[in-house]
Amino acid sequence: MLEKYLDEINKCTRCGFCRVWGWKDVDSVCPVYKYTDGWETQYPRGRVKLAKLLTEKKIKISEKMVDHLLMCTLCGHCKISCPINIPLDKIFHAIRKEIVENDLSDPAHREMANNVIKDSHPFGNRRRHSYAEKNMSGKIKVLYYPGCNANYNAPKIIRATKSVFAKLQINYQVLDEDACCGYPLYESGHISDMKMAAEETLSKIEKYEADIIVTACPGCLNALKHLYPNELSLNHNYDIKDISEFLIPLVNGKLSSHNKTVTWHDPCVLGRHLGIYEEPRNLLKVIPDINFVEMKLHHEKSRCCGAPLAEIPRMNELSIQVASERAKEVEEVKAQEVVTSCPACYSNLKRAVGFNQLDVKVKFLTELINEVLSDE
Amino acid sequence: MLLDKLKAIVGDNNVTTEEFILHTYTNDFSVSPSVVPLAVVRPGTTEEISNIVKLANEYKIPISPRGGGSAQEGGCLAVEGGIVIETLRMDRILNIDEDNSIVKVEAGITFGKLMAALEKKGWKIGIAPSGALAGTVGAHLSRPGVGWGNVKYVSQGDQVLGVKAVLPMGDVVNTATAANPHSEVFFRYALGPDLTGLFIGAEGVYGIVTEATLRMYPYPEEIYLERFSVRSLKDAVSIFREIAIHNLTCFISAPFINSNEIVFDINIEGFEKEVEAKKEEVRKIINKYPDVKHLGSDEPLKFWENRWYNTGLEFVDGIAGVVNFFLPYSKIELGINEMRELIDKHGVTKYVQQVFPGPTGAEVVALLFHNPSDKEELNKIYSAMKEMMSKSLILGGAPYSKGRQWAPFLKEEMKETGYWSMSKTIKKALDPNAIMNPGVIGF
Repeated sequence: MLEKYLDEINKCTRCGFCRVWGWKDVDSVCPVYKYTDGWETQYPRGRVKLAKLLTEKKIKISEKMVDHLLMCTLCGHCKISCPINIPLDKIFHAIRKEIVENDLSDPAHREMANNVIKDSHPFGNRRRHSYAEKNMSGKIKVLYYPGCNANYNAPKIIRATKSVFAKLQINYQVLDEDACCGYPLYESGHISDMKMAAEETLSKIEKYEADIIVTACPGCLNALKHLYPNELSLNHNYDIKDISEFLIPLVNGKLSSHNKTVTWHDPCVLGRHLGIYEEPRNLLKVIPDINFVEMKLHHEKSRCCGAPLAEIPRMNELSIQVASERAKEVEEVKAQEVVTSCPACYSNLKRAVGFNQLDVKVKFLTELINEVLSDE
Repeated sequence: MLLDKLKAIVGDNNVTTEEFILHTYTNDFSVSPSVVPLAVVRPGTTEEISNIVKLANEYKIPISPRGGGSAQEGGCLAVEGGIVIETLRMDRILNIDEDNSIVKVEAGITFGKLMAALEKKGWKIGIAPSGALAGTVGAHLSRPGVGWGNVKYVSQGDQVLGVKAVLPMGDVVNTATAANPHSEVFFRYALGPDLTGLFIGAEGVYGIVTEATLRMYPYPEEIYLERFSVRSLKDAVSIFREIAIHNLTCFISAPFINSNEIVFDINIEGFEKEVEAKKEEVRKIINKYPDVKHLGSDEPLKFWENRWYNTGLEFVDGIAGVVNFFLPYSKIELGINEMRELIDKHGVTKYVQQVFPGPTGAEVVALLFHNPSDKEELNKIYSAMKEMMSKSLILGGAPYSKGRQWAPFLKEEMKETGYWSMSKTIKKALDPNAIMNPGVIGF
C-alpha cells in the first residue's frame, strides 16, 4: 500500500515548510500541529519520515505512533503547501490503511466501522429521524442523499434541504433509510469495510431509480462519485451532484434580500479534495443585498475545522481548539454568518462558536437558501 | 534515571525516548548519514537548557542542538548515544525596540514568524535564509547564514548585536553590551573581546544560543526587481562584482548557472528616488556588456511576492547533496568550472549550479540531485561531494556551513593552523567533557 508511494515519499527534502509558516496569509500549514506537544511526528515532515521507515520495514507501527498519526484531519493543506507537490494526503491515507492492516485501528474508528457494517450508519445505538413524506411510487428525478452525519447529528440540514426542494418543485425523494456511503471508513483506513457498506448502499440507491443523486455532504459526494469507481472498483452510472452545483441554475431570481455580512467556510473535502470552490460562493453571491466576505484563509488555503478529530473522544479537545481558530477567523472579518455545506464542519463550527461565545451564526448552505427562497 | 531527570526539568511532554519519534530526528535537509539519538528534549527556557546541559555533563552525554532541522550540512544531527535539544518551543519575540531599531528574539523563532511580525510594524530584518519559513534565528546565526539581502547586509553574523547562550558546562552568558548587568544589548563591540562572535558560525560547539538581538530596518519605501541573462560566466561575475562593490542592490541571485546562459535577478530597495538612481546605475553597468538580455520585472516580481513559498521548487528533481561555499570574486569563475568538472567526472547527471553574490565574494552552490532509492546515484554523489569539498578548500573556499558534512575536510586542511589550535583550546576550556555538538566543524 505505502510501497507504491515510496518514490513520492523519497522526494521529501525535509524543508519543513509543512510545519508552521508564520508568513503573510498562512500562519500555520498544519491546523493541528500547534495544539500538539510539537514532536516531528505530529506534523507532515515527520509523518513522511515514518512512512519511509514503515515502507522500508525499519520500524513497526505501534499504538503510540498511531496516536500521533491520527492527529491529522487529512485536510490536505500540507499537500498544497509542499514546494515539490508530494501527494501528502494520499500518503497519510495509505498509512491509515496500514494501521488497519496491522490491527491497530483506534477503538473509536473500529467501532464506527463495526456500526456501519451492523447498522448501516456509524453512530451506534441511536435513533434516526424519519423524513419521507412521499410514497415511493413512480419514477423520481432527484434522490436526495443526506448522509449519516446530517441524519443523526444535524437533522435541521435535511429539513432545510427538503424545504428548498419543495419550494423549487423538484420531483425528489429523500433516501430515508440508513445507508452509509462509507466515507468515514475510507478516512480511517477501513477499506474492505467501506466496500461492504458501499455495495449495500448502492443496492439501496438502486431502488429509487433516480436520474440524479444530490448530496449535501462532501464526504458522501467524494465516496459515491469518485471513491466507489476509483478506489473500490464499484462502477455505476448515476449522475451525482453537490447541492451547490444542483441549486445554482434553479434559484436565480427567486431569492429575497438578506442584508447580512456572510462568509463561506470551504469544507476540506469539497474544496481541496474535490475542487468545488466557486459554486457555493456563486450561490451565496446571487442572494440580493448579501455582503459576502472572505475569511483570511479561503479557497485552497482555507483552514480545516478539525471535525474529523472529534471522531476520537480523546481528541475532542484538539478538535475544538482547531475549530475555534476557524470560528475566530469568521469574527475577524466581522461576518455575522458563516455558511458551509459539510454537516461535520457545520456541527464542529457550531460547537466552536458556542464554546468561544462568539457573536456568529453558523448556517448550512440550504438553511440560508431556504430562508431567502420564495414559495412561488 | 536520565529520562526522569530530563522530565523533571522540561516536563513529561517535552522529552521523549519513543523509538518512532527518535527516528524522525535523525535527518536535516542534507544527505549526511543519520544516527538515532537517545532522547529528544524540547526545552522552553534558557534555564531549562542550562539544566539539561548540566545534567548531560553529569552523565557525559553528547548534545546536538537543533532548530528547524532544515539546514543542508548535517550540523544538527544526533551523535551516537547523544540527546537532541530542539529549540522550537522558544519562539517568542521578546522585544521590538523601535527607538533603537533592534529586535530581541528567542533562538527557536522562525524567520517567517519574525518577519511577519516586523512587517506589520513597518520594519524588516537584514538577512533571511531561503528556508525562512522553517528555519530558526538561532540555527542560522550559528552557521552563520547568508541569504536574501546579503549584498547589502552581508551575513546573519553581521546582523547580530548580541546573544544569550548556554555554555557547554551549563553556565549562561550574555554578550555585547548586555555583558554589563545593568544593560540590554544595543551595541556589539563593547566591554571587551567580541564574545558574540564566538557563537556565530560555531554551530553550537561553544554553546547553545538561546536568545539573539538583531538589527532591524525600516521597511523600504520601494523594492524593485529586474531579471537579466548573460552568456559568459566571466561577464556575469564582473557584473555581480561591480554591482556589489558599489552596494547598488540588496541582493543578486543567479539560481541557474548553465554552461551557456546565466539568468540573474537583482533586487534594489530603499527610498523611491534612491531606488530609481540605483536602478540607473545598475543598468549603466549592465549595458557595458553587449551580451546581456533584459528580461524585465514581471517574473522576478512574481517570484518575490511568493519568495518563501517558491524556495525549494528546484528540488522537484530530487533530494540534493549540497556543496556550498564562499569564494572571493577573483576565483568564482574558476570555482564554478572546477566544480562542474568534478560533477562530470563522477557522472552525476542531474545538478544545478548557483551563485549568490555578496559584497566581497560569492556563495558558490552545487546541488546534486538524486532519488534516494537509487543507491548507485547516491554513491556517485557522495564521491563527487567529497572531492568537491576538498577541492573547494584547496581553492581557498570557505563552506557556508560546516556541519558533519565538511568536518573531516576542514580538519584535513586546517589541523596544523594556529586558528585550529586556538579554536580547539577554547573548546577544551569551555567544554572539558566534549559533549557540545561534538564532531561538527571538525573539533
